[in-house]
Amino acid sequence: MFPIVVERGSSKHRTHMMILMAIVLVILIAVAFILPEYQVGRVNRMWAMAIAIMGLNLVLGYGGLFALGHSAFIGLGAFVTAWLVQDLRFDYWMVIPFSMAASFAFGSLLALPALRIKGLYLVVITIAVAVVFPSLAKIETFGIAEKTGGANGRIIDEKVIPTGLGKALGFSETEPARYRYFLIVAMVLVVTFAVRNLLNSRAGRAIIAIRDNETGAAVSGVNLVRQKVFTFGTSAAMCGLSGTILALDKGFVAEQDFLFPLAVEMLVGLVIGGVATLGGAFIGAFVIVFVKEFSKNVNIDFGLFVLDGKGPFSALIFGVILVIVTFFLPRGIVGSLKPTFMQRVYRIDPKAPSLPENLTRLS
Amino acid sequence: MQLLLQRIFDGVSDGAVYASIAVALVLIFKATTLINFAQGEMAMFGAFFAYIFAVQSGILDFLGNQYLIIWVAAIIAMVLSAGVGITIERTLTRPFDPEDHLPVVLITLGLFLGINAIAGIIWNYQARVMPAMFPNGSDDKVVIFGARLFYDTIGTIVTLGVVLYILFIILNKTKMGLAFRAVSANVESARLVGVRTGRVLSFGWALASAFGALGAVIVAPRITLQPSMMAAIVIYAFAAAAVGGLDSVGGAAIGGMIVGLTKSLGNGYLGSWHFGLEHPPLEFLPATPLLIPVLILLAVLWFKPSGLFGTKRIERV
Repeated sequence: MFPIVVERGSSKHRTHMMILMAIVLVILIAVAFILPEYQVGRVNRMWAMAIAIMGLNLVLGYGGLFALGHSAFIGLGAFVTAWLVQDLRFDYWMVIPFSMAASFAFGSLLALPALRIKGLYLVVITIAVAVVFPSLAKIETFGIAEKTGGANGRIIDEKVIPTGLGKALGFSETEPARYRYFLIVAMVLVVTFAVRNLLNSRAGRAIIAIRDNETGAAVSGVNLVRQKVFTFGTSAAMCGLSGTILALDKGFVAEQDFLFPLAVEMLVGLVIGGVATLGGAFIGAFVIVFVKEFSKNVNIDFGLFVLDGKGPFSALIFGVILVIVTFFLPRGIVGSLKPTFMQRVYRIDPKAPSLPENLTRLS
Repeated sequence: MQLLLQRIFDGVSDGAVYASIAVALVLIFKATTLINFAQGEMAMFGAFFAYIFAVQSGILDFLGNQYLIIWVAAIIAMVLSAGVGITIERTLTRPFDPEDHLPVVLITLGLFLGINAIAGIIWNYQARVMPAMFPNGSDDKVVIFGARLFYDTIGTIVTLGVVLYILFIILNKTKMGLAFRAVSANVESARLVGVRTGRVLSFGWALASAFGALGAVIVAPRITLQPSMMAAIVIYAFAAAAVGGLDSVGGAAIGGMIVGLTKSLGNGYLGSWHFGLEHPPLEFLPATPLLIPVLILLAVLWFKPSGLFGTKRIERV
């Protein structure tokens, strides 16, 4: 029985992939209807985090640039969303290109120091940016604080609720999270396929080549400056999209939601799932959202001190997870399981393309 | 003149604290080429050790002679912190190759979260009053051209100077210091000539943890003692260490001063600048004190990617 040998691109392979995708789709749709409404809201948050983690993965996992300031990009996306929807009365779907473009620009700007500054110095710089960003949202001049809500946060009135087509499909206005779920999942699917294709493309191979050997990549004709700026910008744009989703789903933005710990959470999610794996982002996002919810409901009295949701319990769990994962699962869940799975179950063995008839093989 | 002098004094006073944490970061970087993100939290734990010994045990109330007691408590805290540092180095960071940044950054970030959370669970986030190591009443000051120079500031700077001198002696005049410098120059070569590198790494962590704890004990009276007290300091200390160069002890001290001064002067002058606008854009902004050191950090690293006094990394192709 094992290993099952399947040739890549054969009809059997295609059938297997179709079945797999069908199962995934069924699960995705089922989740929205099985879970109660408030749980669906949490799942929405998980999807948004997954997009952000994929963005971080692009820079950190595939690009090998150690950046730790991605909470700032999420924040920028969310603030741009709040401003456009609230002040300029944009429709929510029209916001997405703008928030992504803003984050892309900000990310490209941050890529400039990354061209010269390497390794741990880059970590320090990006942390500093993540720490400064939330307080920049509170600047009074230029009406920035007015647009972002400053220290108090800002409510977005325009809710994402089912209209025309959504209503026709049977979504009710009283359960908007379920409707949003499908919009968000659609975006997640698009982003996932875009990232997958990017990584298989010329640009993606260049990103990985820079990580593995910068000089080698440059010698082979990769334009380091353009490629790094592009990587940083794309990664930031994905975080910006994630910020838009978070803002519209919650209907509220506040600078306290985009502090440095958010960047650490993303890193935790990334390493649990697996650095430089595509599927890892989803597992990572699930773990961080689950841990946060779980630690909110914990209440244990140890006599000397009480462990409850108000305290820093989730930070403790994240800290322990970071240490344990680094020790025992350095490639993350997906990174560790995938090779085993591939060896035991699937052996993809593409056939070399046959030569055209008018050519004969030399030798 | 008075205002300028005052701002310089304030800047130097903060800078000395940043420098002490930055020196700790640099010591660990020199020994193990990793940045210890948990440095601030370990120092905070050290300050709590001192607090427990001096205040919670009731010794301070009983004897009353505060400065001596606090100093003794600080030294005990330094020793305990050194022990914690050695334990962490031995168990958590030794197994990993420091040249591979991701695992060691993850470990120290995990420690950062974990230590802060444990302190928060044990001691809550309520602020405690830490007795000062130097006279810090409102009258304990020298007035120079109308600017107030507090004894606290003088004491902090003198302590920093003494610490740096001791460090200089340890690193340059002792056998352990020689071994330490050998390891930081090249671990493999040091091992080949018979240096017991493991001990040297532990020694580096012990030194760093002890000096970090001292910095926290000094700063705790100014900002009150609580588990998240170092959050506002450690980011400046990172900037200071990076500006000075991550592998230069003297650079860290100078970096600390640069960051402290730019923070104080930048906040003082730029904060009230109008830039031709209606409101001064940076006035009373929590970001301003941080924004300017960050810009300085960016500028320094842009022109000198290894900091002002750091060793340039040369990569062989």
